[in-house]
Amino acid sequence: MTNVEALEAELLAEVERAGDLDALEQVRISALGKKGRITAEMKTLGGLDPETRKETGQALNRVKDAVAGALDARKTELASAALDARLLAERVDVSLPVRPEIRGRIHPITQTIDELTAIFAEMGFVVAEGPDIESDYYNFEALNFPPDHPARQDHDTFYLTPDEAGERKVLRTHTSPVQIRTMEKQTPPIRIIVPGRTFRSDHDATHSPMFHQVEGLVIDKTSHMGHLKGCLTDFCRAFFGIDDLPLRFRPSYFPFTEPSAEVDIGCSRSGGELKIGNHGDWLEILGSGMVHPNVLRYAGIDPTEYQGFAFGMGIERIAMLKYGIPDLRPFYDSDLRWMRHYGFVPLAQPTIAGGL
Amino acid sequence: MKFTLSWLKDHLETDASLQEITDRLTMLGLELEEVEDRAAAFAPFRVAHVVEAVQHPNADRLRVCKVDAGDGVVQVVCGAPNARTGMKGVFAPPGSYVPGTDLLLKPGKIRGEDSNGMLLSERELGLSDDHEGIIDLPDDAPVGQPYAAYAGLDDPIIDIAITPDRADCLGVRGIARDLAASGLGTLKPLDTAPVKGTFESPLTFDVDLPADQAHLCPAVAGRYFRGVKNGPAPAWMQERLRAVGLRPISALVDITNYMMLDLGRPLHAYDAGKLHGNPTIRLARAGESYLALNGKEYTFEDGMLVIGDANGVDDLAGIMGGERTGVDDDTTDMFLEVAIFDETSVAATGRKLGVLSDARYRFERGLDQTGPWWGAEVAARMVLEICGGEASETVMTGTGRDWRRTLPLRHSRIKALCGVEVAEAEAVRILTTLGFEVEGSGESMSVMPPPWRGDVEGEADLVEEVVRVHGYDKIEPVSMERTSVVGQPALTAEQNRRRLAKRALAGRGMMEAVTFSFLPAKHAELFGGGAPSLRLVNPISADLDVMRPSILPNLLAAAARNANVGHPDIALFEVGPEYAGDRPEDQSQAAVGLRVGRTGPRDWRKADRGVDLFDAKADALDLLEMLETPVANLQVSTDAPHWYHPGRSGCLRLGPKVLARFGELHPRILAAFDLKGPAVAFEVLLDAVPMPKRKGPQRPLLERIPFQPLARDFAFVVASDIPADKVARAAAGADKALIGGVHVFDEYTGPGLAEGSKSIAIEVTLQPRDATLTDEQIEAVSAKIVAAVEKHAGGVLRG
Repeated sequence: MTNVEALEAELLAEVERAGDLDALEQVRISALGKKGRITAEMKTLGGLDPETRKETGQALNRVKDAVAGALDARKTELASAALDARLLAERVDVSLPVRPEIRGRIHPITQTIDELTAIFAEMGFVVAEGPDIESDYYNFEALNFPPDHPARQDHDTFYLTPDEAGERKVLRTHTSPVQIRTMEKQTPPIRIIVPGRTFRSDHDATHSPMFHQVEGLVIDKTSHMGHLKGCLTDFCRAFFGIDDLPLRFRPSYFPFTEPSAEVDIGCSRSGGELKIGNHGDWLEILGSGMVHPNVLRYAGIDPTEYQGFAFGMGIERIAMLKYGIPDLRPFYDSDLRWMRHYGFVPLAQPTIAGGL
Repeated sequence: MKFTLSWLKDHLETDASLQEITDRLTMLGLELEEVEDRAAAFAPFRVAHVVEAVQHPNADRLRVCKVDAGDGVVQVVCGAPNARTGMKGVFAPPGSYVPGTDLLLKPGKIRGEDSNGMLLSERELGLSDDHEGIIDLPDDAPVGQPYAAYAGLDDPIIDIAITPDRADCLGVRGIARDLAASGLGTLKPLDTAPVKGTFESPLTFDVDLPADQAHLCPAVAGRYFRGVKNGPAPAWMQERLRAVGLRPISALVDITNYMMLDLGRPLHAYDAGKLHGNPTIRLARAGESYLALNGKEYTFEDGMLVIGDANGVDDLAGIMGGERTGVDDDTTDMFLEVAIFDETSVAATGRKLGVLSDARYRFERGLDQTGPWWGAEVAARMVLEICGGEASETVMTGTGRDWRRTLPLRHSRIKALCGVEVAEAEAVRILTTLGFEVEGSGESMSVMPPPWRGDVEGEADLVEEVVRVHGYDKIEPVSMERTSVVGQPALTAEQNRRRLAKRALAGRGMMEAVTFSFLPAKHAELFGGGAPSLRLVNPISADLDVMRPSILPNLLAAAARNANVGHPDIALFEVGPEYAGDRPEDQSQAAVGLRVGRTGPRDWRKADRGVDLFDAKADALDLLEMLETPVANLQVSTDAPHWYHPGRSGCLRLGPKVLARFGELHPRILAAFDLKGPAVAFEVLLDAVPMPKRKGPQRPLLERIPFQPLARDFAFVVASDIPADKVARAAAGADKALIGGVHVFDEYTGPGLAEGSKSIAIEVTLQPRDATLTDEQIEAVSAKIVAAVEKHAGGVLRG
């Protein structure tokens, strides 16, 4: 019996000594292989008496199981160590940069148009559009600008080369022509906004020959100046995100509205910094008024039945105020540094639900 | 429009403060631009006595003065030639700010002598350009008195913006009338009583206009003054003119300017001695010219309204008088013109000749139609008072325009249009104070505007007058009534698509640009534009003179600008208008992108590379897919426009329709923009992209086939001019039921292939539908593919 026990101890020690999987395999073969020592002992059983054979057989089987179990355990142990070693060898410098990706940005004008569209959509407005190259009729005449009226001179109009008939197209000086184009096509009630390109021959630090305006037009039977005030107050407060933003309506003049009003929002200019809010000072941001009866007549709408209001404001201007963009001219320069800094991530589509 | 507070108070009886007045002006629609309070700016400057002025020991041109400004004698070094012992001047102590020279005074030494302050010239005070010497005040000027108060400069100057409709407020009196109507005082009466003429005028205005042009001069009053002395105007008048920025010239000229500013009534004074016969108001003949009072020569076009005598034209009616017949210091006889001219004619002539004047500004906005009648009296009183002499009887030519009109006003319209209740009595009071005559009541008022309110044409104007004076601040804001509980879509499908395009392209790593709709003609021409009908007559600069035929040149210019400031690698896009002509239907929307340089920063894995046409093609395809174009049906043709590399560009078509173009830009284009390549671009013509034929939001049912797809690779040898796409399409068409997709994964030319041929390798995906494919079935479809590629693309399976 001591032979079997000694064999067991010896084999288990060998398993324990195996330093890698190859050595372990050698141990397995030398113990359990066809010519292995346990196998060899098993072969001797046939020569023993039945009683002894039974006892020895049982003992050898136990040893066989023990060695096989030890081999398995050792194998798992060694495989795990080998994996650890491999992974250690596979170490890389994780501080290295990722593959380069370039990020696109949405221009502040687009973002601002999307924002104001979201707000006005809540108030039942839809977006209308018209051409940038306009006839004198739509840009001026139908908007109640008589020829050679001084109000035309304020518009610094760009003219295109006259055609053979002498007709001279203009680059629209405001988005207001779309008022007429819409009223010609649609019967009231009308609620539209018109964001778009506008052009004036003026170029300095605060003027660009091209800029963007958004026009608003409401035509029905009952909308009055109180609604104009309410609509613009609700808009400005939502757009700038200032619940108590005060608005001031001052009498003014536009040929296509009567009565007309310019609108100021509250601000402060202390310390040379312009801040929007209820701070006691005023900043003009838009023009508005009740649609002039002559304009309704030009567009084929009966002014004794319908009335309404219109307004127009500069998109760059409200974008600059909201986002603290100091200068106008870089809007059109496509300077990479400016676009990265002031642009918006493309997935940030403005929504009322998500906040503006 | 500038005026001073005391000037306003000539017309307005009021206790209101400056602040109340300026606040009210803004709320009346007469927007305050600026208040200049010189009393505050001049506060440190006092009347001073020069006790002694002696030669500076170390400088020939300097004097050392002992000056007493009321609180002790100080020493001042002065360089003025007129500084002398005993004179009175204006002293600025150390620490004060000298506005004319933008200087903060500090005590110091000048050539070794202490100097503690300064004796001021008019220029140093910013009052005039005079710096001949220091201000020399009369002997009785009280020492120590603030100079502003002494000189009457403590009168605040108010500057307001006047909208084009308010011609009546281009005179101080009109402003006072508005303030009075708003309850801030009462309007003082204006003395328009006749000044009796003592002789018959030897001159009269002749109006020589064709019958159909008679409206150009409905009335003109003339008045002859003899024995006048045209010296300087009185100091008070000069001060007021200077305060509002006009240079005093002579009494007669100053009187005409003063009446223009005071009453909004421009006048013209002829030197009667220089006129040859009656001045005649007539139409100019082309080529006639005159030397205007501004020293410039103007040549007329046919039909411009002018005034001349036997010696020719010397006045551009309502705009500017002429040098030849103008008054001067020696004038003794003056002929005064008080006219009404047609507003449109004055505006058109002024605009064509480019003459700006205070008179034109008022004439073209419309004057008080009764001006010739009262103007001749008010002016006569002023001329006689200031210049002496005697006045003739007034000679009137024309009977004036019929300005009387009555407009209906319903009281209910005030509330209906403005949403504010104004009591009828208050509405009537406002209109009456503004000079309107109101008859009737309630829903049948009838209102006659005064002769100075040509802008008031209808009921809406009357409502504005009432509500403007009542106060816009009294209108309560009312939120818009919601037409539906849940907001409705605001965008059309086209608008939505543009919005999606922008965010899709930005999502592909491109920067959104917004560039001008115009560009230099030479850029337009490179892109097939520059047609005469799209040229601006009055561009802001020669660089922005043509409407863009394409967005691409603007992006190229932007890329070049960025490269010049150290950013050569750029990816830009713009979604916006392009102009093929000047009609509305010629304007189309495009999404255009440009990639220049490398795909990104240098990378340790070498993942960066130069951009190539397939980047642009990918942009175009991805955008088209976002817009729900059936991308699988797109065909590529190689006929992109000439601004692309002829061999490295293409068009994406759906049938005959070109939806997009892409490719490498032509080297000539890059050279024109001074841009280093590589540069690739795409143009998606949004208006050509068909709208998806989807009805409603529902998707077709998903068919999920339970059998695994399997892939087989083929390589075909084809002629090298056969597009890979043709091979792929041929293969895909071999068995439409079984072939789920074909993907080109390799193109090879070189050893092992005959000259003029190439190898195209494709991976064909087979999608069994009813059962797993047997080897025989796979063999059969493979044979069909080989046959189809051979038939349609001349391809031979590579052995």
